[in-house]
Amino acid sequence: MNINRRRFMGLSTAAIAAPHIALAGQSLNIVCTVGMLADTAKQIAPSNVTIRALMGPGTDPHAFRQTRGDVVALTKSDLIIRHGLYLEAQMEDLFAKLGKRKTILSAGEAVPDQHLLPYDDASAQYDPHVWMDPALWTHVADAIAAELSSKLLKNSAEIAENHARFVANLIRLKDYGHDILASVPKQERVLLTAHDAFRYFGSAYDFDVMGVKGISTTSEAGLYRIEELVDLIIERQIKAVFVESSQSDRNIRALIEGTAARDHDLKLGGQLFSDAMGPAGTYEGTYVGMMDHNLTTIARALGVDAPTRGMNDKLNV
Amino acid sequence: MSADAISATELSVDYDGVTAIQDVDFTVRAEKLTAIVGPNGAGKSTLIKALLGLIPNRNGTISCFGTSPKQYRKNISYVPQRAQIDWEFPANVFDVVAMGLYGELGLLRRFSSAHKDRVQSALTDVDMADFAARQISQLSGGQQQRVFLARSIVQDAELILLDEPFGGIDSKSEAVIVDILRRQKQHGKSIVAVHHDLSTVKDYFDDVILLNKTVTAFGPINDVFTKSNIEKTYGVSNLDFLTGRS
Amino acid sequence: MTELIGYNTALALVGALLFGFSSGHVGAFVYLRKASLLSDSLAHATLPGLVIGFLVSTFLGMEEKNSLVLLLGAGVSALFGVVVIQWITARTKLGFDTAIAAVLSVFFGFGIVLLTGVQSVSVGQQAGLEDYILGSVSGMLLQDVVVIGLVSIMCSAAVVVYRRLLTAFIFDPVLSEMAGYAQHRMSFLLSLLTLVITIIGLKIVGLILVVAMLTIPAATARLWTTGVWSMSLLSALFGSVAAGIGVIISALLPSLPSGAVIVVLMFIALGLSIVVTHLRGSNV
Repeated sequence: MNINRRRFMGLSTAAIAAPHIALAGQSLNIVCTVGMLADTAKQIAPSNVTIRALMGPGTDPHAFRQTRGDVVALTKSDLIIRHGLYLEAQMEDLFAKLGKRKTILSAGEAVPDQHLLPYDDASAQYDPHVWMDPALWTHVADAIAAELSSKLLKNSAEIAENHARFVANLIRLKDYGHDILASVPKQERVLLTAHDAFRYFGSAYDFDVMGVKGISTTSEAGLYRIEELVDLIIERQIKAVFVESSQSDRNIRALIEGTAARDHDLKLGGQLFSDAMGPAGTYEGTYVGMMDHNLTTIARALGVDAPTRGMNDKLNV
Repeated sequence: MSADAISATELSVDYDGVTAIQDVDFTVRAEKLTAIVGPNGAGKSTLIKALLGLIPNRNGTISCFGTSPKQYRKNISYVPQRAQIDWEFPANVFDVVAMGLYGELGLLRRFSSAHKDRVQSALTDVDMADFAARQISQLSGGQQQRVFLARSIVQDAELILLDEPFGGIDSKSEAVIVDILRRQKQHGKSIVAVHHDLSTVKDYFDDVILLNKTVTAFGPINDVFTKSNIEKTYGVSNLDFLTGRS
Repeated sequence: MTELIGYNTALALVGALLFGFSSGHVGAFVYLRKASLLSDSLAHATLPGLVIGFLVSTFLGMEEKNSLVLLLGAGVSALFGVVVIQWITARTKLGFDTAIAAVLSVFFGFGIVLLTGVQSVSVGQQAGLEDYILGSVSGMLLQDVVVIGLVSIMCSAAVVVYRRLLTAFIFDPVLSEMAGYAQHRMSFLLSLLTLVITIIGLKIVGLILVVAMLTIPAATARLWTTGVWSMSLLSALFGSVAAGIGVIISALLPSLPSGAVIVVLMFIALGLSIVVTHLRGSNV
């Protein structure tokens, strides 16, 4: 992806002039960081908007390394949507610099503080994985819709309609989750995954959540943690664990072996989408599909007879 | 008349992309002490490497007692320059001498008491028997040289090649080493040494090869170690003091 | 019912003990040969091969990331690194040190480029590749330990069988050659052992720290002994004990990366050895 200086200068000028051009009804070029944001923006925006995500399916945002091409794309864009809440911690400096001349929407930070979970007892930071609770994601959708409307005044009606439809889906998702998980008894409401990405899921659906690795995936889990979890799994008779699409499965497999050595049959409940969505172009490659897949997979692993093809009968099985 | 220890004909050897020795002809008589002398860069090291079969020759032939050096390898023992050895290596005198037997022992043969005796006997031959347990890092120059000689002796090779054996050694040790070499000659060994000190060639050796990329002359010292031959080899004049002749 | 040592810890312990032993064992000879820097270069040169192996196993549709394919890729690219080093030293005016530094940085850098590029390939689980850089004992599986254990034993066995020849070769290559063991063959043997140790060490301590496993126990042992065979056994012992204690510590205390703990322990042993032997007035 070569970009020579002249073209770069031209495009920078265009970027600065973008709001005026947008008002004229021409297309808007949006670059998002994670796929969940890109899909949400895609659902809400009118068709004359191009949206692209830097991180695709299977990419771990905690470990993402931006390339020069990514930086160029961000610089060329009319609007940057990032998650914030330090999900893209390694890109803080970059966004600080870009923020001086580009519009950056930190969509995740639209969630009111009182709904946010702390990172841990020590720090003042928050757990960024808010997309796990569709109710919280509504705030993100609201923020994106508001930003788009302000930039595309001509399309406000269309945006409002899309937004309403999307939020309705979020509500349906939340209800679907409650419905299928209702029959799971309290002591079995445990979710153990590769890293601690599901705390908002836990608070939304009343589950105890545990990750082998912590909220950020950058450090090794450690033998101590594995042994600790094996003891916990045996103690609470946890039936299933889950791998994640953007994480290595080795730690989970180590748990399965470790518990098997103590005669406990720990099952692999399936693969969940934690920090990245499913393959592009599939239902699971959308926010709704991702959440649908997760809820359905978890419920079925815990013995609930949830529909195999999920809420919209669209899951690939 | 025994076969020549070494016979080289029209030998040319390249090293590092340069022709180090060219059209070299000589023979080394068996059971003699032969010196190879020549100025720096004469190709002495290259010649030794070729004699050991370590580098190929571009042209010509070498034979040792009638066979090629590679085939004759087990019967040649080499005493390297002391500077080429890592004296901090964790080994004692016995260990180094014992290495001379590794060729025989191969991978897995046990180091038996018979082998031990041979090592001890070789050490006695060089008067280092009391030093068997001494770390090689604690030896003087002369002692280091004697250890390597002991290693050669334990190999019981018919041909011993030495690279500057008297370099950096005091005269007393030198005398001891010459003595050891002479005794080996009496045991029927043929000895060839690269020697740097022209003033002692006559006293220590029987034969000499004068080398400077080609062989100026070779043969018994009395015949060959003449002023004019030396001057031709070294490209200088006025070396009367070396030959004791005018 | 809590056992004294959990299954996962026991598994990691066995793997670490065996690996620590063989890496110390081989490392003694690498140290004497003064090839420790070469082994570091080799370790860094595994990265491109790991990533390529990952891509190959993914596109061949193998289950998740087939470990063996990755390690094979790592081996191939490290081997290629050795070839490049030898080529640079033989064919150009650049010295051995320069060749090593060049291969280390270029191969590793290329590996990072590939690693970044893999992000845009829409397959999951490439995060697991980073485990090979700093090691990940927590995710050790039975199949890993079996491979590590068997290969470690084979490497140590090779050292035992070849100990005389390796000693002679390192001390006096000409003698070794005259005894019938060509220098390039012995050099290749040592490089091969180094390569194999590096490959199996990737999972335990990662490519960055593998050089420590090959160097520190050997350096420590050198301070205490005066013979090659005893040095190699002592080195193996140090490596094994450090690895074992490192694993135990990381099982007893939370949030400790095992690889780093092992290396720190070995370094402490080295430090103490230097002090003690110095005070003793060692004549080694």
